Amino acid sequence: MHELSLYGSIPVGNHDHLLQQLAGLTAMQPQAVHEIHVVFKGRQALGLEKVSGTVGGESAGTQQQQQDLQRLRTMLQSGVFYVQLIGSLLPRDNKRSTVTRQGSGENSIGWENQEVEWTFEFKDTPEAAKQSASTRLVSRVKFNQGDMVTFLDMFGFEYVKRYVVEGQRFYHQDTSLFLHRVRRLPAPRDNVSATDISDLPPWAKLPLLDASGTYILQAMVEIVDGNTQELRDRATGQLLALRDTLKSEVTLAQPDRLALDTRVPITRRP
Amino acid sequence: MSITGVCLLTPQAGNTSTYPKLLAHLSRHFPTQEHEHFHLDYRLFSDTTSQLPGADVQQRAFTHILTLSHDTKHAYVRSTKVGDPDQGSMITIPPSAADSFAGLVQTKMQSAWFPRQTSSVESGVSVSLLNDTVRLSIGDVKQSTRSQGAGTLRGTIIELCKVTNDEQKDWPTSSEEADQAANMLQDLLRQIFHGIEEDFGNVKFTVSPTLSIDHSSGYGKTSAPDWDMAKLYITVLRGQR
Repeated sequence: MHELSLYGSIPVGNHDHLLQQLAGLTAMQPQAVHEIHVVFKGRQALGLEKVSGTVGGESAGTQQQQQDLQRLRTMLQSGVFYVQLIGSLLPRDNKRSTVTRQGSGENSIGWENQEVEWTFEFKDTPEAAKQSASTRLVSRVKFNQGDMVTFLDMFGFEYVKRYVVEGQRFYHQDTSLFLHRVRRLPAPRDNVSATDISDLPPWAKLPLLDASGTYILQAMVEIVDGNTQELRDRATGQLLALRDTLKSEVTLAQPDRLALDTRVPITRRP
Repeated sequence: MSITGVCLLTPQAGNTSTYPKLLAHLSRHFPTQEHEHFHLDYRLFSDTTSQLPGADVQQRAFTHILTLSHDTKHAYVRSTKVGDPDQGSMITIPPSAADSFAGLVQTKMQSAWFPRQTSSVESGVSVSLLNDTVRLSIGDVKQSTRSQGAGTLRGTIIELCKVTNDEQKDWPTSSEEADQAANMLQDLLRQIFHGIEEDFGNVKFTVSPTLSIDHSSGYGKTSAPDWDMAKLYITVLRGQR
């Protein structure tokens, strides 16, 4: 699946007005989103030096062996990525809900008894070609049950950090509009899983990543077959039309490609 | 609880399968039992580093992706190490996502994981016997690898799942009891296929206690993940690696 996106930033003072405008444009009420993002870093494969030293050398063996080694070399050099586990806090029935609106306009969420649905998300680095929207491969797989952090550790990904995202989501034609901002989360205590949310401070007490309170608007279209140019053109057309519609409120643009780079920098091993 | 055994019958001389013979026997001797379609899909990846010349195979790690037709709600992804296959970690994903997840591992995680084999049963059968106290699933396992191409016959897989009584709830717990359970299932297999030329002398079931057979949603289809059942299939299908 490919994701085509445009991004814009919205000062906190314009947030409510933009919410109203998006509600009018999409003819829907905003859908509240509260997500926990747990970031993992892929481990670099060991042994690339062995291949480098062997290919083309005297001990390279037959042509078939050389081809196999060359293929391994290509695989080992193919890059390692950051991935995320994204936990969506499920809305609960009114009796049990602890989501309350306070005078400050902040939502405060009690974590206890929250049900979380976890999704494994891989996002590639945006494509390098000159395009009107940031385009990249995206893969999301729901992780249903099991010890996900331990599994990911054995699968080759180590825990890095975690944070939460709060916001509102709208849908317009094929476009998903996600108005959101990020809050920091404390690191898990020793021997506590990064996906354990039972002992976290209330949502409103979590510090904002951007202290000014600025929101980000992501306008996004997902297409199943990213190799079909017609689908890409149609998705891009929808995003550009939306950009023009919202231009008085927010400037939607394509960010620097490498600012969205998900590759782990290669470090030379001692 | 149930006790389940899984084994892989190697092909007969001339690389022919035992499966048609077993299927014919079932149709002849249990004509009233409905045959449910049985299929599975198994993908094995090993860590790419271990493919290098001179790599220590004792450090080799595997990732297994398994989907079973018994279990319409879960596909299983398990990571193990060669020296300690029982200490792996396993999660479940939706079966509909197994292909895309395997594709992701094969492309964007190729620096870590090397595709070793894909095994599948495409047209097996699953049948309930002996007043629904036994579920038998059989099918031909076809294997494809990068070097061999697609569709070589690897053998016939047999899964025999028998409901146990309360006293045998946690049975088997020791290797002796596992042997005892395997022999019990082997005897049961001979009883089901009584009269057939094959005497199943070489059959060695790998056994484990598993969840109860739940007939409410079909032939033993379960709603909770059956970790032990998945481990059984992975143990048998990964072979001597």
